[in-house]
Amino acid sequence: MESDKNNGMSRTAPMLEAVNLTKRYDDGVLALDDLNLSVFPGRAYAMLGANGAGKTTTINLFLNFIDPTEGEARVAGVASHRDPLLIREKVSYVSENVMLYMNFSAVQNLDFFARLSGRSKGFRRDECRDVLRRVGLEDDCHDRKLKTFSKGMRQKCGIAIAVIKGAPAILLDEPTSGLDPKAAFEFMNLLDSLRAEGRAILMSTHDIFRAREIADDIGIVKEGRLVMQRSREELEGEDLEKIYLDYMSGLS
Amino acid sequence: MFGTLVRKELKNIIAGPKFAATFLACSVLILLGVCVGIVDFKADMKQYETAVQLEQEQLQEQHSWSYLATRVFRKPDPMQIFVGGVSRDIGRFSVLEESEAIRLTGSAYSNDTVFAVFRFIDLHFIFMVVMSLFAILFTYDSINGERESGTLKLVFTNPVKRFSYILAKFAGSWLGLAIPLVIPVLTGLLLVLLFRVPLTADHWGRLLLFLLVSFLYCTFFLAFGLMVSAMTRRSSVSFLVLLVSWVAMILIVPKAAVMAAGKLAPVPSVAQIESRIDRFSSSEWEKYIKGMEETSIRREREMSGMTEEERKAQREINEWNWLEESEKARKAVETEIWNNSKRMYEELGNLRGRQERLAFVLSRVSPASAYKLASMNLAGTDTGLKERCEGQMARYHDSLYEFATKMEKESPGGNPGIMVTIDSEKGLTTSAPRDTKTIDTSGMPRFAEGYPSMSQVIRNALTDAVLLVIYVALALLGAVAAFSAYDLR
Amino acid sequence: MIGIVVKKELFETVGSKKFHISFAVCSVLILLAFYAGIRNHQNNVERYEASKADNLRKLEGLKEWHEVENYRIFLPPRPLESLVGGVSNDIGRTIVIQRGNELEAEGSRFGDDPVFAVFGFLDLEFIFQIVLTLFAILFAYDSVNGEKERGTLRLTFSNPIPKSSYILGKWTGSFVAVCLPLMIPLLTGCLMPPVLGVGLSGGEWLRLGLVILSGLLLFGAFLAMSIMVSVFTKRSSSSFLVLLVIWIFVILIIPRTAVVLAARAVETPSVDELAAKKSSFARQLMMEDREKVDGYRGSGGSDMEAMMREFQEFMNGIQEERRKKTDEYNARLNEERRNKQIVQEKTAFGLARISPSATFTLAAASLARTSLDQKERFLGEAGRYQETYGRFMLDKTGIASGLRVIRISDGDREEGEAKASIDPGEIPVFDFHEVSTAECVKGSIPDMGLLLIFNLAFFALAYFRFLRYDVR
Repeated sequence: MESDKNNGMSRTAPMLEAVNLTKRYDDGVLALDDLNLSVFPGRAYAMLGANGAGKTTTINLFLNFIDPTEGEARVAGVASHRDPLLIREKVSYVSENVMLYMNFSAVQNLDFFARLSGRSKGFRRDECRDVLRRVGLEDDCHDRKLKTFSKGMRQKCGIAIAVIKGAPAILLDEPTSGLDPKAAFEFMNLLDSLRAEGRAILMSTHDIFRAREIADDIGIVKEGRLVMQRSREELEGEDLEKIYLDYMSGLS
Repeated sequence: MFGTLVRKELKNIIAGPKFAATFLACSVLILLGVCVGIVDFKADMKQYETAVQLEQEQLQEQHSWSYLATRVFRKPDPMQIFVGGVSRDIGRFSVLEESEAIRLTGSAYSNDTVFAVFRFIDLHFIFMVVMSLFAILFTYDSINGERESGTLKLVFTNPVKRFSYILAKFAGSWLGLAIPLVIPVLTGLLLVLLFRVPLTADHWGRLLLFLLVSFLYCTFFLAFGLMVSAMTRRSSVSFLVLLVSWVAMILIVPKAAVMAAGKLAPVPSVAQIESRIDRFSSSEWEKYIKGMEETSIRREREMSGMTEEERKAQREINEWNWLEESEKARKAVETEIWNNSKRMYEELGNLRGRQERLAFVLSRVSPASAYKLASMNLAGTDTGLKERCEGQMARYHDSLYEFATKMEKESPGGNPGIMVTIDSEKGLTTSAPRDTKTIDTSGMPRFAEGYPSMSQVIRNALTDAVLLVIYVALALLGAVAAFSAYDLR
Repeated sequence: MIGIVVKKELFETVGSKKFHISFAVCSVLILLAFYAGIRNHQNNVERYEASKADNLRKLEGLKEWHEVENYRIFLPPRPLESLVGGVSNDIGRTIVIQRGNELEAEGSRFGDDPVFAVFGFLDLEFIFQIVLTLFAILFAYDSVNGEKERGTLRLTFSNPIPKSSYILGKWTGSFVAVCLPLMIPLLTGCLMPPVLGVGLSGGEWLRLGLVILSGLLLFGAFLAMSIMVSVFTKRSSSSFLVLLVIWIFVILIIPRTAVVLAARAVETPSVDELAAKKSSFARQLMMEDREKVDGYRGSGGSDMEAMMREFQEFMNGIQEERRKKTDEYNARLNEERRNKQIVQEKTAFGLARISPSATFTLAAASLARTSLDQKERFLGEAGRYQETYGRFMLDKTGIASGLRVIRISDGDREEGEAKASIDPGEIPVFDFHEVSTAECVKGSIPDMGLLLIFNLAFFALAYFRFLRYDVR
C-alpha cells in the first residue's frame, strides 16, 4: 500500500502546491517568505510552527481569502488568486474552532454547506445523515441545535462538511486543539480514512505527537519560512519533538 | 475594596467606545435641544409680543365699552425650552366677549401645522428617549458580559463581597454616565444665559429640579439594566429584553394607558358642549326677545287710551328707563348664558380631570411617563396648563367686564349700531351716531399671567418624583437580589 | 446560489429567539394599533355625528332664517387617519359658517384633549417608524461582521460562492424572513375594519396597502443600512452602537431639528398679525359704510313694505361691496401667508427627507390624507360651501349678511300671527370632497420613490464594500 502511494506520488501532479509563496501585509509585516511545499493526492502534510509563524496565512492563501504578494498557491495546478471560485470547489476547510450556525441542527448546517459547495443538484438529505454517522455522530444528535454540541462534536460536524463536499483537497487549521484525547484519536482516524480515499490533506498543528502519527510529510514553519521538511520515512527513528524545539530555539 | 472596584468600572467605561459615542451623541443632542428650544422660544415670544401689541392697538380704536371684545394671549413660558409639554398643543389665546366662555384656541400646532408633523425636540425628550437608551447601553452586559468574558470568575476568586461588587458596578457606571451628561448640560445652561432667556429665580429652581429628576430617571435605567444583566446568562439576551422593555416603557405603555382611559372614562367632545351651550343661549335669547315683545305690547296697551300727543310725551319721558330696562334684561341674559357655559365647561373639566387622572395612574406603570409627568409639572407645561390659563383668563374676564361696565356708566362711548326708523310720515330714515370718540384704555386692567408658585410646582411633581425614587430603589434591590443568587460560572 | 443563502438566512432568522420575541411584540403591537385605531375612529364618527345632529337641532324652533347663526361644518373623520395620524389631531376640525366671515378651523383634538397630546396615539405609522426600524437593526446589525466573528464567514467562503451572490442573498433573505411573517398580523389587522363594522372603500384599501408597502420599504431601508454598517465595521458590538446612534438621529432628531430650523429660517407672518390686519381693515370699511348709511334717504312714500325692501336692497348693495373688498383683502393676505408657508414647508420637509423615516411619514400622511394639505383642503371646501350657504341664506332672508335685526314695531300688527318654524334640513349639506385616490397616490410617489432609492443606495454601498471585504 505505502509503496503504491509513493509510486503514485511521482506519477501524479500535486493537488496543493505552494510556489515561492510570499505574503507581506499592508502594515509591512512579512508573514510568509518564499514558501514551497506540495501535497499529493492521498497524502497528508502537517505544518508545525509557533503561533504567528504563518501557518494560517498559508491556508488563507490557498483559500484566496488574501492575495499573495509573490508566488502562487496552486490547487490542482490552478493559482488560487486566478480563479478563487474554481479552487474553492476543490478544497474543503476545517477551522480550529468549527463555528457553524448555532441555531441550526447538524443536518441543517450540513445541508446548507453542501448546497453552498455546489452540490445542490441530485443531493439528498439522507446523505447528510450518512456522513454524520460516518464521522461518528449518532442519530440522536442529528437534529439537535448546534449550540448544544460539545467542541468535539462540532469538530466532527466540521469534518462532515468537508466530507460531504467531496473536494479532493482538505485544509485543516489546528483541528485537534482543545479536543480530549479520545476525540482527537477519533478525529485522526477519520482523517486517515479520508486520506485513504485519495484526498490531499494539508493541516497546521501544534500537536507533534498527532502530526507524526498521521502525516506523510512534515514541515516546520518559523517566521514565515519553511525551515525543515521531511517525509515520514526520513523521520523514522528520530525524535521529532527535539528537532522541533531545536529549530524553534534556533539551534539548527 | 469598594473604591478599587468603582475605579476599575469607571476606567473600563471611559476607555470603551460606548463612552466616546455617548459623550459625542449627548453633547450634540443636548446642545441641539437647548439651541432649538431657545430659537423657538424667541420666535414664540416675538409672536406673543406682536400679538399683544396689535390687540392693544385695536382696543384703542374701539368706540364703546359696552361691546368690548378683545383677545387675551397666553404668554410663552421659558421653561418650554426644556420641557415643551402640551404648550404647543393647547391654544395660544382666547377671545374675550362678555357672554362667551373662555376657550383657548389657535394652538401653535394647528396654526403652524408644519411643526406638528414631526413635533418638537426639547431637553426632556432627549433625556426620556435618548439618554435612557444610553443608560441601558452602559449596563446591559455589566454582569453577564463579565461572565462571558470570564472575568467574573476571576474577580470572585478574590475576597470580594457580592454586595459591594454590584454596588461598585452601579456607582461606576453611574459616574460614567454622569460625565457625558453633566458637561453638555452645563454648557447648555451657559447658552441659556448667553442668549438672555428671561429666567427668574423660580425658573432656575424649577430647572434645577427638572435636571435632578432627569438624572433620577437615567439612574433608573442604569439600575434596571444592571438588574436584567444580573438575571440573565447571556448579554445578547439581556440586551434584547432591555430593548423590548425600553420600547414598552417609553413608547407603548403611556400611549396604551391614555387610550385605555379614553375607553374607560369617556368625555363629551368640545363640539358637543358647545352645541349644548348654543342651544341654551338661543333659548335664552328667544325668551329675551319674547319678553321684549311682550313688554312693548304691554306698554302699547297701557298707552291705549291716550292720544297721540300723550303717547309721544309718555315715550319721551320713559325712553331712557325703557332703554335701561331692556339693557338690563340683555345683561341678565348675557350673565345667565355666561354662567351656564362656565358651568358646562366646569363639568367638562371635571369629566376630563377624571379621565386624565385615570390615564396618568395607568401610565405611571412606566417610569418614563412618571418622569414625563414630573418634568411637565415642574416646567408648568402639564395638562393642567390649559385649565390654569383658562381660569386666569376667566378671572381677567370678570375684572375686565366689571371695569367695562363701570367705564360705560362713567363715559358712555359712541354706539356703533345703526338706528333705522320707519315712520309713517318721514318714511325710512337712518342715523349712525357720529360720535367717533374712542375709548380710553389707559386704566384698563391688563392680563398678567401668574406662573405657578414653586411650592405648587413641587407639590404637583412630588408624586411622580417619589415614584421615580421608588422605581430606582426597586431596580437596585432587584439587581442586588438577583446578583446574590447569580451563578458565577 | 443566491437561493441557498436566502434559504439559510430565512431559516436562521426564523429559528432564532430574537425573532420569536420581536415577532410576538410586533404582532401584538400591530394588532393593537389596528384595534385601537378602529375604535378610535368609531369614537370619532360618533362624536362627529353627534355634533352634526346637534348643529341642526339647535336650529329647530327658530322662526326666521336670519336668526340662524353659528352654523358649523365639520371635517368628517376617516378610518385611515386613525391608522396614520399625521396632523389630523392637530388641525382644527370645525368651521363656523357665516356669510362673508373669515373662515377659521378650530377645535383640534389635541387642543381639546391635551391628555392625548402628552403621549400621542399608538398608530400604525408609529409602529412602522419606531418599532419595525428598531427590529430591522436588531436583525441585521451583525449580519456580516457577526458571521465573521463567529467564524462561519470563513467556512462559507471556502466554498465556491461569489461575494455578490452572498450579500444579495443576505439582504433578500433577511428581508423576506421578517416581512413574510409580519404579513400575518398585518393582514389580520386589515381584516379588523370590516369585522368591527368599518367599511373601507376600494380607494381606501389601495391607500392602506400602499401605506403598508411604504412601511415595508422603510423597513427595507433600515435593513440595508444595517447590513451596510455591518459591512463597514469590524465588530458587531460597534456596528450596533453605530446603528443605534444613527437610529436615534434618523428617527428622532433629524426630522424634528430639520423642520424647526428650516421653518424658522423662512419667516411667515403670524396668524395674529394677519387677524389684526384683517379686523382693522374690516373696521375701517365698516366706518366708511356707516357714513353711507347715515346719508341714506329713501325715496319716500307710504308703503312700509316697499320702503323696507328699498332699504334692504340698499344695505345689501353696501354689504356686498364690503364683503367683496374684505374678501379680496383677506384672500390676498391669506395667499401671501400661504405662499410663504409653502416655501417654509418645502424647505423644512426637503431637509427632513434626508431621513428615510421622515420620508416615510410624509408618504404615509399623504396616502392617509393626513398631511398638511388636508387643512387647506378643508378650508377650501368650506369656502366653496360658504358660497352655497350664502346664496341659500340670501334666498331665504333677502339679507346679504348676518345682521342681527331687532325689530321694534308697533306691536299691534304682528300679534297672534303664528309663524311656522324653519326647517333646518333645508340648509345645504356640507359635502367634503376629498382629494381623489389617484391624486393621493400620485402625491406619495416621490416619497415612495425616495424610500426605494434609500434602499438601493444603502444596499449598493454595502454591496461594493463587501466585494472588497476581508472574509478572514
